[in-house]
Amino acid sequence: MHSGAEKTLIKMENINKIYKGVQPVHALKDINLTIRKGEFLTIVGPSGSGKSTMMHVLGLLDTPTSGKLHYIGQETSKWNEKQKAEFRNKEIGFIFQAHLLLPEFTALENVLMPYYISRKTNSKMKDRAKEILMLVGLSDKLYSKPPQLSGGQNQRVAIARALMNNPSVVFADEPTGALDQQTSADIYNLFRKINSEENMTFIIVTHERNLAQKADRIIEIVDGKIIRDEIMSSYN
Amino acid sequence: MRFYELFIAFKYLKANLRQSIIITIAITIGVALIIWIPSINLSFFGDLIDKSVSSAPNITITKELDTFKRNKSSFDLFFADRTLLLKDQVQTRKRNIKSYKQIMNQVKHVEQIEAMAPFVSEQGFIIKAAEERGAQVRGIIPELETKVVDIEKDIIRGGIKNLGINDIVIGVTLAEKLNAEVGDRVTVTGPRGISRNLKVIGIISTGLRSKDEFQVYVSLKSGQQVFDLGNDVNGIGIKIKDIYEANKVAAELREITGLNVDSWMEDNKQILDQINRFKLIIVFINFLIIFSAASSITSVFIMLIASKAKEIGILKSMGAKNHSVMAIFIIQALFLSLLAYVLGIICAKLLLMWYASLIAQAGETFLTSEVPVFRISPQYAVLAFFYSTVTSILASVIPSYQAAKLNPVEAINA
Ligand SMILES: Nc1ncnc2c1ncn2[C@@H]1O[C@H](COP(=O)(O)OP(=O)(O)O)[C@@H](O)[C@H]1O
Ligand SMILES: [Mg+2]
Repeated sequence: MHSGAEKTLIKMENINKIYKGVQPVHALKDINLTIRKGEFLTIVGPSGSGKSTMMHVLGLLDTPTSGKLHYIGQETSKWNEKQKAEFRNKEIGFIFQAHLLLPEFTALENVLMPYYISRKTNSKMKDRAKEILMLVGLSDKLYSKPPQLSGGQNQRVAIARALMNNPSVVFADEPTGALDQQTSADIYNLFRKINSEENMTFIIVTHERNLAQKADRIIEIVDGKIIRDEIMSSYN
Repeated sequence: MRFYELFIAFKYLKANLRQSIIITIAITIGVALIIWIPSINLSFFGDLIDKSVSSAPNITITKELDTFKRNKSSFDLFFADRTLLLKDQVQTRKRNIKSYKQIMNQVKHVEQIEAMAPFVSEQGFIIKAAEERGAQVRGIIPELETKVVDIEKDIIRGGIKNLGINDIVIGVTLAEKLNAEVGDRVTVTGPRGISRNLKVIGIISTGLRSKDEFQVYVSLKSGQQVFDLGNDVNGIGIKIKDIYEANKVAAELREITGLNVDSWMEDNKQILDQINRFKLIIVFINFLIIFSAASSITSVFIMLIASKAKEIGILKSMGAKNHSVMAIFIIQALFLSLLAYVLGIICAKLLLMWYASLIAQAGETFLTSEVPVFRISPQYAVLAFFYSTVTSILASVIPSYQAAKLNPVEAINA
C-alpha cells in the first residue's frame, strides 16, 4: 500500500513544551514519536490536551522547551529562523483550525502565496493553483476574496494553499471542524488520494472518530502525553 | 514571483486606503510646510539680492578720507599739499580719483576681475518743464559700464549702448513722475548749479525702487562737467567671476590700491545677515514640523502593523522571512512618502503662487517695485525629501521589526 513509508521523516525525542507565564503550562510532556514518510496519521484527544501545540512544534512554528526534533535526519534546533522559514515554505503545508487566509487577496492569490514566497518564477504555477482549487471544488471561486466565501469554502482554499508547494508533509489542525459531514468526508478522501498518489505525509488533528478511523495510524494525546499509538490493521 | 513583498505591499496599500491616505496627507503637509515657509523668505531675499547684485558693481573702489588716515605715507604726502587739506571738507572733492586709468592698470592682473568701469556718481536734479526731481546721477562709459553691470537687461525702452555726451537714460518711475519719454529733453543740474540739457534715449526698470525712482545714467564726460570734476571720477566699478568671493577680492584690492573698496556683500550685509538669522529660525520651525508629523505617522504605522499581526503570522507560517515581512511595510511607507513628497512639492508650489497673488493684490511692496518670483528653494526641497523618506522609514521599521520577530503562532493568536 505505501511503498517507501519505511523512511523516517520526523522524529521527536523527549519533546517538552512549557508555556511560560504566571502559571506555566506544561503542554507537551516527554513526547517521543517517529513519523515515516507517506504516513497518514491522525491525532485525537480532548480539548486542551496539547494537540495544537504538538502540531506547531512539528510544523516549526514554535520551538519546544526541550528535546530534539529531527527532520529527515537533521536536528532542527540548530536551524536559524531563515532556514526554518525556507523549510516551512518548501516542505510543510499547514491547515489551521480557523482558515487563516489573507482577506485582501483572492482565493487564487491565497493559494499561490506559498509559491510566491518561494520566489520561483514559473508561468505554469497559476494553472497548478487553479487545478488544486478545482480539486477542492472551488473552480468557480478563483477570484473571490475570503470575506465573500463561506467558512467551508475558505477552509478548502486553505487546504489548496497547503498543497500548493507540493510539501512533504501537511499538518491539518481540525481542518473539517467547521464543515458538514459530507464535505468533511470528501476532503478526507481527497487527502487520502493525494497521500497515496504523491506519497505526501498527512498529520491531521480531528475530533471526528469515524474520520480518524480512516487513518493508517492514530495517536491519542491526553494531558500532553501520548497514551495510544495505534497502527490501523486495515492499512497494515 | 521574485518580489512578492511588492505585490503584498501594494495590495495592502489599496486595502487600507484610509490609513494610506492619512499617512500621505500627514507627510504631504510636512513636506509642503518645510518647503513653503523658507521658500517665501529665501525667494524674497534672494530676489532682493539678485536685483541689488545685478544692478550695481560687485566691487566698488572709491577714495575716502579714512583711507588717508590709515595710510600714513599718503597722508603725509597729501598733507604737504595745503590746498587739499582745505578741499577735504568738501564732500565732492575728497572722493575723487584723479588717475583712474593708473589704478585700473594696477589691479587688472587680479585673478577674479572680469571687467572694470570708472564712474561718476553724485546727487543732482532732473528737470522737465515744471517737474523737478532729485536723482542719483551716474556718469559712465557705456561700453565699459555695461560689462560691469548688465544695465541692458533692465532697458525697457530705447537703449544705453550709444549713450553720448548729450544723452541720458532714466529710471522708469522717475520718467513717469517727470512725464518724460524716449526722445524728450530734460535738464540735469549739479550742486554747483552747472546744468546740461540732455535727450532721453532709454528707460530702465530694475524692479528695485531705489533705482527705478532715482537712477539716471549720463556719459562720464557730462557727469564730470555737471559735477565740476574735471577729469576725475568718483570710483571704479568692478565685476568679478565668483560673486561670493567679493569680500576676499575687495580685501586684495584694498591692499594693492590703499583705497576704499566696498563689496556687494558688505553693502548688503543686512540682507545677508537677515537670511542667516532666518535660516536659524527655520531650523527650529522645521524641527517642530518634522517632529509632529513624524510622531503622527509613527502612531498610524504602529496601529496599521498591529492590525496586521495575524496576517504576518500567516505569511510566516508559509515561510515568509522576517526581513520580507518588514519589507512589506517599509515598501508601503516608502511609496507613500514618495507620493507625499510629490504632492507636497505641488502644494508648496501652489502655496507660493497663492502667496504671490496675495502680495500682488496688496499692490505695493516696500523694497522692490514688483512681486518677486517665488521659487521653491532647492535646498529645502532636498531637506523635505530626506524628511519624508527618513521619517516614514523610521516610522515603519520599528513596528514592523517588532511584528516580524514574533513567532508565527504568537502572531496568529495576537
Ligand atoms: N500560547 C499559549 N500560552 C499559554 N498556554 C497555552 C498557549 N497555547 C496553548 N496553551 C495551553 O496549552 C495546553 C494545550 O493547548 P493546545 O495545544 O491548544 O490543546 P488542544 O489543541 O489539544 O486543544 C492548554 O492547556 C492550553 O491552555
Ligand atoms: Mg487545538
